[in-house]
Amino acid sequence: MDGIIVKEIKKSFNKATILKNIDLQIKPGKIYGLLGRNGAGKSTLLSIITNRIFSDEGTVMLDGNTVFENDEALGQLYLMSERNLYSNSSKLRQLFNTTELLYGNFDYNYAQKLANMFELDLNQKFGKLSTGYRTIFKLIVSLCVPAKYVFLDEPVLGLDANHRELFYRELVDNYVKTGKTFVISTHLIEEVANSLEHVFVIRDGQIIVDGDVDDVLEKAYLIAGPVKEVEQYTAGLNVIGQETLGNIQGSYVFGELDSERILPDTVTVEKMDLQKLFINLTNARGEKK
Amino acid sequence: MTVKEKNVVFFLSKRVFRQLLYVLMWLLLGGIVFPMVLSFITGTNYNLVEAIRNITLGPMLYIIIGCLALLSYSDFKILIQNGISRRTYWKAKVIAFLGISGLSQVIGILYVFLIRQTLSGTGWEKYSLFMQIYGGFFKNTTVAYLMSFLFAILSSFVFSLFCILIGSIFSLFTKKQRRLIFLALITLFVVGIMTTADGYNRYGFTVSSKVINVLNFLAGYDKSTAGKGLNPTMPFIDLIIFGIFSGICSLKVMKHFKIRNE
Repeated sequence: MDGIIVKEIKKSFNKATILKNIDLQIKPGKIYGLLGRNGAGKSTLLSIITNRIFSDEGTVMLDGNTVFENDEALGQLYLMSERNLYSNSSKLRQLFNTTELLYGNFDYNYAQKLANMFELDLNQKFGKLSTGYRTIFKLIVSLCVPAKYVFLDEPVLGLDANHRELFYRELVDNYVKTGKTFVISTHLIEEVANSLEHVFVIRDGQIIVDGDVDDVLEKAYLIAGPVKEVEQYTAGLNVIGQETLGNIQGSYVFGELDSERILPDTVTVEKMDLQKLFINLTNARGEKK
Repeated sequence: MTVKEKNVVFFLSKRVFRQLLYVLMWLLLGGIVFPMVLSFITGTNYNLVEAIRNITLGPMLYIIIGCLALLSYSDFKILIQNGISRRTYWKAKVIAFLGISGLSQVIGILYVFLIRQTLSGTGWEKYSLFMQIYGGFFKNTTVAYLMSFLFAILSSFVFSLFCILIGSIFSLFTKKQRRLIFLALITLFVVGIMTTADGYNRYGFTVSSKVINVLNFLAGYDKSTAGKGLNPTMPFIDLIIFGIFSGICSLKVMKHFKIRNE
């Protein structure tokens, strides 16, 4: 099982290049994070993977078969996006029935249970829902649909803190029970960081980080101390960001440290969390001074 | 047909039936119930039998189903959300509309005969355009009737296919662009008619004999059989070719469908 292999995807809108040579692999049974700032190309990439829009170049394969106009492959993918593709005049129960008809094996019981948990009345029409409840409805579908690969594009848009927490809990629970693959595209990293196993960071249409979260964070450091000592210690290392307060400087380093280098007593080395790493990787260098 | 394709056909057929019933209900309200209520209120005479007799069900369904075939983007949106490819959508839409338009014409034909039997409505000969134009070609009335039924069904198929093509072309554009194109087409049509009429008044131009010959050929006009009615084979061939052309073109157009920011 190769999973999804995205190869050399390029996409431009008018004269703006959105994706430049994207290569990545999504293996079955993992929770992936697709992280990037607004306009980085996350939604475009997910739309291409799920055949909603076309790439200018490149291929998307699922277990060796192209996804392009392939019903069998598309039936294994589900994209929950902020765009509302459901009919406004349809009742939520009818939309569940449509999902069952076209995907098969929709988990009605679980959907009802989730609707109760989120206090969503399934007899309402989709068009009458608020932004938050539209998101909730789409999240319920994405958790109950039998697709092996579920793509969640900004899944907590418009949700309050309680609903967000409830969703993350259900996501992990669903993942453990079904073994589905989830790809979560978001810029709210702090909340989702604990759930992710693998991360793609996209910047200016290119994947700049592709690795398991533990491996990635293993190479992410915050070197703090007096400006002069920190600069000496980090010289030649991959410094992705800096923060300065008076004579104290914090340098964010992504990559291996030089084990030969002696750490001054006044300088400390700490691990970076995913959010800090993301912010520094996707900021232009020095922007945070 | 795969299970998925069958499910999409079922899904689309159900949606079209629902829309069709909705439109018919309004037509019934506007065409029969409303005038009836109005006549009660104003005290004027209202003839329900006459109203039922005057319903041209076949052509009415023909037009309504054609209009419903124009709507593409809303179905596409929900199907792409549910993992359906564009090709499957096209295939299912064509099958659904061929089935519904064929069925509607059968109902239309039966309605004409039923009304004729029960309410002394118009006979099929006057009702069917095909019978009026090509009926004289046939010596056997039964064959003429059968051919006209076939023509009615085939023409409804082709009209639906053509409407699917037009609807799919419009679906490539945003709402705003569609409105502008619609306005541009109306303007073009009005200006075109005025220019043609003006040109005709000024220069009195005549249509080229080549164009007339082509039109005669397409209509099945044959000098040797002149006066006996036109040859009915040609309109069948025309329809089949036009239907295939519309079907292929709509597939090509639908393959370019994509989700828009609207």
